[in-house]
Amino acid sequence: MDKSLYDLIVIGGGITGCEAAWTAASRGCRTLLCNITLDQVNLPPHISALFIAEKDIERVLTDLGGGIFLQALRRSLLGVFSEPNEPNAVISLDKREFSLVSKELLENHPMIDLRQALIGAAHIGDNIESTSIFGEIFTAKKALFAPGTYVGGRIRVGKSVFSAGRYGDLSSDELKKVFEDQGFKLVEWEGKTPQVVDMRRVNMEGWRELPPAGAAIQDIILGRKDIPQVRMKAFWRENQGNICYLFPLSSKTREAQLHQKDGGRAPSGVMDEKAVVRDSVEHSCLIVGSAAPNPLKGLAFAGKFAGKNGYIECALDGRDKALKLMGEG
Amino acid sequence: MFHVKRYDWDRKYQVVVVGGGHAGCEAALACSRLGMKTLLVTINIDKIALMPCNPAVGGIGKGQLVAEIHALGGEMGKIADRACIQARILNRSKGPAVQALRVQTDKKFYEDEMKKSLFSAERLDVLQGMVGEIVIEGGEVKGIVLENGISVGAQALVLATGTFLNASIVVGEKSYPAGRVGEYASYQLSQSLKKARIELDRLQTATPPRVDGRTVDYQKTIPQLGEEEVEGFSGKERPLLPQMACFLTYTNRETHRIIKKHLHLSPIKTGGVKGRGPRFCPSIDRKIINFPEKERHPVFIEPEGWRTKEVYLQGLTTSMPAWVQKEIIAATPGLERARMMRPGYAVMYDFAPPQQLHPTLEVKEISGLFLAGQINGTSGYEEAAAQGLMAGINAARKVQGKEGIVLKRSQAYIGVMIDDLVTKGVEEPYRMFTSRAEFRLILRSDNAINRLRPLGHSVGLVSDEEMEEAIELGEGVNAIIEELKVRKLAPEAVNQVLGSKGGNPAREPLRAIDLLKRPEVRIKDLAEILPKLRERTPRELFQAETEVKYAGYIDRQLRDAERMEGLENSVIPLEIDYDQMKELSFAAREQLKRIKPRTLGQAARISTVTPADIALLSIYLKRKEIGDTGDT
Repeated sequence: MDKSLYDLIVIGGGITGCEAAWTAASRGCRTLLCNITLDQVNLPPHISALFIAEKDIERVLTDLGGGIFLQALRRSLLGVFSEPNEPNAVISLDKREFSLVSKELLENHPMIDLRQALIGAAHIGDNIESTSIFGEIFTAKKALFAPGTYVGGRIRVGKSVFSAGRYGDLSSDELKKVFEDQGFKLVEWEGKTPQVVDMRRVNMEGWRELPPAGAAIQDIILGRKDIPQVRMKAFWRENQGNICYLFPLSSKTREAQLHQKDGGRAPSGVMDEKAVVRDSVEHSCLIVGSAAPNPLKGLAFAGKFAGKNGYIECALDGRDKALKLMGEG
Repeated sequence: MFHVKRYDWDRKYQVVVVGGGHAGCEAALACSRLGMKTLLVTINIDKIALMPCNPAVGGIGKGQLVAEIHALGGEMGKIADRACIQARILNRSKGPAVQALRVQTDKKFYEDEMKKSLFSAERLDVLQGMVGEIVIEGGEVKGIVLENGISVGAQALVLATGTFLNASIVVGEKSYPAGRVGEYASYQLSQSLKKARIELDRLQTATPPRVDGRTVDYQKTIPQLGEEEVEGFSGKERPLLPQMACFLTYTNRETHRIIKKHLHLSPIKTGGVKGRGPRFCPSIDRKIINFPEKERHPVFIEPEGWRTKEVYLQGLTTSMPAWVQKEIIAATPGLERARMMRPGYAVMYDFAPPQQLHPTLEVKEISGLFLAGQINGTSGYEEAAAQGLMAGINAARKVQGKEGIVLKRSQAYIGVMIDDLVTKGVEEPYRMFTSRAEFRLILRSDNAINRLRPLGHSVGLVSDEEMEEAIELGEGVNAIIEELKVRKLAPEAVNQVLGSKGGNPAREPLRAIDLLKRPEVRIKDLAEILPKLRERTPRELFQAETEVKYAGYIDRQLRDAERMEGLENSVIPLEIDYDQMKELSFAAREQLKRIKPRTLGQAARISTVTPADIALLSIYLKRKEIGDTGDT
């Protein structure tokens, strides 16, 4: 059996879990970070862009300074734009590159051990013993759960509903039982991911290029001035009173994400069906509700599973919860 | 279940390819390049061209397949060359027929490069989705229905679903349904295939654990460096990444003691893994059972790419419980402190016994349905890609109303593989070896371009420019051989070449070609005194050298192939009624009815068919031929 005792185990290698692991490890904690697969770590699940109010940029980036989210973001930027008619900056990123850079950073951190494991059970005693579905036991003094949408996750696409943590990935119903057994109240959450289209098939009539952000904003976001500012163009158009965006997904494929400002799927008519590469999926999973008992000692929930939403909010939550867990000890 | 109004499709394509692995990528690219409006459907676009097992392409038998894929206009060779982080010629000390290129690849880089090709191919759309049902009417493929209810009409369908059909993965006593770790498998598609009366059976395969490269003690291992100057599979593309080293260690008595001690927990002992596994790529548990006398087994520590610290432990494949895997690793020199990042595991999956296929890879009973890759019971990226390419070519030709392309055993390893599959079926995941090819001296990697590029060109996958390359290669080789024939070397020149090599010094003038036939003489030695040779490329020189040195053997294989040609060209009509042929043995008749061989040659390779049966068949065919003539 695994005899090594970690200071912290983080379950879930998404934005929340990675930030939490990085925060703890950077302060000297021996940290084990488990993800369902190592083929993909820290892959942003939703849109390939961030919206930040210009007035908040400096504060947000300071809060995330030194963290893995910001480092990976800076190394996977496709462009920094201004949002039309709004005082917001739009940061477009290459999701795959973000994920690859994150994995590199994590693997090179001397205090982080990255591990492929689907956690199916946890025993909470003096230490926390987490058991993988393969029967491996990982022991840590503390645990931070950031399983995102993988707890009891289901996907609805068209007429069909099936168990999935994300499209293509398994979900963990076992983990759901662990939390229920501990007396946590779980509530169902639902969300949608935008469609992805093949840029070659998009009729660009009516679409306009997003203007680059001003130099000052670029400098804050880039952190360094020698990074190319716009590597891929992003587009927008008005669509039935709303603004619709087209963000490149990666510099390597010709995929772009169709994002409706008010959320959800872009109305029909904007895109030819044959342009669609990945359908919009509705997603539900269980998250820890407000009626949860006081978290057990040494245990924390963070990110989407704790009801947070948005990349920045999740990264900040991962960081805060990790700091709090460490402060307890 | 789904209800589709007849021919009322949401989308329509000429060819739909299901699966984004190595078979699916080649099939989709081939179809789109042959002018087909093509759709590639995959469960996860982020995992296209993933290498779920070893970080390498090529090897003995497999390297020849990749060279042939490239010669025919496929993609794998080019991408492997670009993603190469180490190239080695295996069996360099042996004869040219069994030499093979194997390249270590950067896995993520490979995926990215393949995706670039897919997303820049004309007429090719990619769609993320899972297939729920195949629509078949009147014995013909009509299309598919995705899980989201979208229906896609297709004139031909290529299924390249890998290990995802009705799959579950196993570690120790634990098992759960999944196509690969963390990814759900496809169950409806298996059902749909059964409904279409396609016979399915079970196979299994496994992958070794990966460990954290930071925790390996490389001092205790033997570095394995690549070769400095190697032409890749394509002879054109260069590695786009710096090269990396692999490392070699060996298991020892302690490793074996641990394995033996816990053997009762191995799924191959407990029955946790059902279905047959790859005998030629055995797990370490299997090796300990089968070779109890061996004191050690090699373990190659291979990097998975530049951007990861994960390393692959080739030789330690196992699906023993994870804690046993840990002990096995820790007992192996250099890996004492190695930290496991991914445990090894086995996967069991459905496959369709390939005797159900025509040699074009089309299902005999369902027109327009082609199967490629692991679904046909093979193992390996290269085997999959080669079938994908052929299924893609033949799907496109089916739509175009052209006759399918079937490669002969004397023409290509791909031909050997497909003939083996459809004639003999598989008892275990089929892996290519040079020993499977009876004409391996004429089926070399170095002459794959000469052998197959004209076919690729006439099919339409090879550009004029690329064809020109093949012609130039052939001409170059001929020019070298001509030069060797006409140049008579004075004894002094001969002895200069022989130098310190030993061998009988010459007293008479000697033709250069005869000198080259001496085992100790290499063509590069002759190039020192024959300036014309120095104008030639390494590839031309290598091929000329092989042709000269092995001329006798090559001629014999060519003659054998020609002799076989008679049987291979005797076409058996599909409508033949074996039940009418009472003289055939019962076993032969049953197998002939099942396999429906296309030629007498193929019939002769069916295990229950005896030479006497072939003689009967041959007489029957001749009589029929005469009879037909008599009728007109």
